[in-house]
Amino acid sequence: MASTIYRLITIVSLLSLIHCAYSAAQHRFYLRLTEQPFVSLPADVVAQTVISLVALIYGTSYLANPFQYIKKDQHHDRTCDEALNCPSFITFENRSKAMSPEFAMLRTLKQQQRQRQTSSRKETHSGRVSETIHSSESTDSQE
Amino acid sequence: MVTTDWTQVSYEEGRQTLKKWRECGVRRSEEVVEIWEHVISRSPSSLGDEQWAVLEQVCIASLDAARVDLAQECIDLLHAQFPNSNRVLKLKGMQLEATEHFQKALDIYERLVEEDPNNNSYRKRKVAVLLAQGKRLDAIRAINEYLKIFLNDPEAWLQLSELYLLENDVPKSVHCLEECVLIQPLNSMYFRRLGDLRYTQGGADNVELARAYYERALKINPTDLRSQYGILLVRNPSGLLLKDFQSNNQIASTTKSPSEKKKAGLAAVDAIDNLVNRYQKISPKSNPESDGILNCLEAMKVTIGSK
Repeated sequence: MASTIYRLITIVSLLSLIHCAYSAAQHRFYLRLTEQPFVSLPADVVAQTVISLVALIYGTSYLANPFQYIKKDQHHDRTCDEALNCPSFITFENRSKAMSPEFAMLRTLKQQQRQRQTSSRKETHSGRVSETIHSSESTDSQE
Repeated sequence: MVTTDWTQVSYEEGRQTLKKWRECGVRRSEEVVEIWEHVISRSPSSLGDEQWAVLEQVCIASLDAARVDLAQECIDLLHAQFPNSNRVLKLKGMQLEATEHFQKALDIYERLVEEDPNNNSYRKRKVAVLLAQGKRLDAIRAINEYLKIFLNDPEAWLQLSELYLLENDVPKSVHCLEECVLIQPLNSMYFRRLGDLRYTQGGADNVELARAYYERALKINPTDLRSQYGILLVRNPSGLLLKDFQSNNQIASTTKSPSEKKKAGLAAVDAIDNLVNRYQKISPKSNPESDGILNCLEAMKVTIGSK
């Protein structure tokens, strides 16, 4: 439909342009035969050239892909991960730490340290308790 | 979904991939580490000058993937090449951050900021330290301070908007994104997100604004699927959405003048047509859901068209 019309315009104007070139060459050839000086091309050839050129531009501009909006997103194929990511604010507190054997080792070391601290505190505490028990026992035996 | 085994790619492909990811700033840390360990580290010197940029990228990626040993390797190599570089020192600070020595990292960044007050990346790291410790309100304050100095940094505005969202402060988040739009007016992602935020806020005016934002996003990026759904969402009061949305939409549609209503309806029908075209091109093999979505869309079109 519409595209066939534009295709027709393009083909016709292209043929017409070629015809212009041929008639211009013919004109020069005729001038050379009749030994006249060359001034300019005849007006009808010039007019035909201009008209067919404009028609050709018009036709091809519709034959190519449809017009695009001039202001468009340069990186239209980027994803959310790329466009809404802030790489310079990156933080490293994520699940990869929980999966990593090194950090697991660090964690257990810290835990052991903490346990040792608490257990040593417990030991001193229980020691005091046993002492008091012992002392009470001794008082019992005295009685 | 095609997944690539990044341990098996060729050297050149690995190099190109790393370059692509470095430039678009996507966070694919584990893949980066895989490519480095299995492909590029065979002969890093054949990268030429690109080697140092790749090392920096791999260093940050390995910290993100909790591979402190690899990060240390990269830092050592970089330090040997650039002994007095602040940029390497920043990487060192990031390593301290990853191993949870926040105070030491902060000290390094303080020194770097003093030395070079015009470089914004050190200040950003200071904010990141606060974020890593979970002090979100402090981080918001710090970014606000930062933005007083570096007003045209879209990344910081975006991060601030994200933080406000985490605090459920949608209006402030919207403001931050509007600043982003001012800086990069042709980024459809910002418009789409603004549309989402306005829609979340609710109310007739905001829904109307959301539609305008979605349409703008669609205009500068005609392949934007989510904006098309957004236009549908703003318009469509059919039963395919949750009932809660329905009341929201009806408020919006009662206050609109009839001509605008009609326009919105037409836009929604257009959006559906585009969506249907999109899904028809997808083969059911690559997306097994596409048939169901297609049926859904057809049903929606009938309900909207009848109104």
